[in-house]
Amino acid sequence: MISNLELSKLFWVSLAFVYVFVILAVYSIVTLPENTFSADSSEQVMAAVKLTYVRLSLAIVSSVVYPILLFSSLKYTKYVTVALTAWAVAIYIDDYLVLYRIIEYPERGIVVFIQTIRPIFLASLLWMSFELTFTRSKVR
Amino acid sequence: MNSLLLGRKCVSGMADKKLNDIEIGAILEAFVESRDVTVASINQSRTFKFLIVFINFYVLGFIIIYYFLRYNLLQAVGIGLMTEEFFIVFDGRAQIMFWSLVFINMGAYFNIGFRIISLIAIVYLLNSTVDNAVIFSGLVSFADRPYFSAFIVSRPIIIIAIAWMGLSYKNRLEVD
Repeated sequence: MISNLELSKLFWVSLAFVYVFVILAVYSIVTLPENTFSADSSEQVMAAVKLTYVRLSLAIVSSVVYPILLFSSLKYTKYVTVALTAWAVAIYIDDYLVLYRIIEYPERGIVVFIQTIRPIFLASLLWMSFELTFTRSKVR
Repeated sequence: MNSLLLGRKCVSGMADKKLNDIEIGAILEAFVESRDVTVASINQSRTFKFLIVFINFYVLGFIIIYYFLRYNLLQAVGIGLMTEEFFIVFDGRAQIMFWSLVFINMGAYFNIGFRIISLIAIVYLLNSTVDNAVIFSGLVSFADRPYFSAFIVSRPIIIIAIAWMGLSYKNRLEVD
């Protein structure tokens, strides 16, 4: 079934990396220490956690829907992938260029690790978008 | 002139298949003209034209109001938002919206990737609207902060307008 889609190995590697990233992000938010929500936490950390909850709920829905879409319609997969990539890039731009004085991510090992591999996550999504847009005549 | 030359060539039939320089020039010129037509004449619906004008006015209007408030050229009613942190956020948003508007207009005029650009703009706006709702929802008050509240409350309108504009856009190459 996978070979019928005629997508490159790099596409599947990128997709796998994206899923690993989302699972790690969900794990990090589920296992947040209880004192994160105490009055001692700064407003910036609270804002970041609240935003992450909203973003991750959308990411989980997308992760469930994406494989179904991928195996049913490559045309719509292309649009959804471009939209998700634009969303991930918009969040990244917002976090580092716009909201950097308003939010602050908790100083935990796993959160720092996720922030470090975030550019690779974006690169993976960009690769998937480009491959679906420019190299697949059937998609268009 | 071009069509006359091309027509004459067709009439001469299959016997003379070689083209002279004048005829090659005429063919090249004919394609140049058709490319000009593809780029210049945007045959869009009235809905599309209204929406793109509305979006331009909306975005530029709020950017101008913001910079007037930022540099004290307009009297702010409430001063709760006049802090450096908020200025950084709204400076960033204003810059991103300005460049999105530039790409939307260029995409519409040159007929290149317009729907993809619209999709990216919608996604960005949705994300920033969610961010605003999560972070700034407590600050919305028409009595204390009318400009800011109008900006936050009117966000869904601009998102719907861009989505509608993207759907009503006619790709000339597809139509032809």
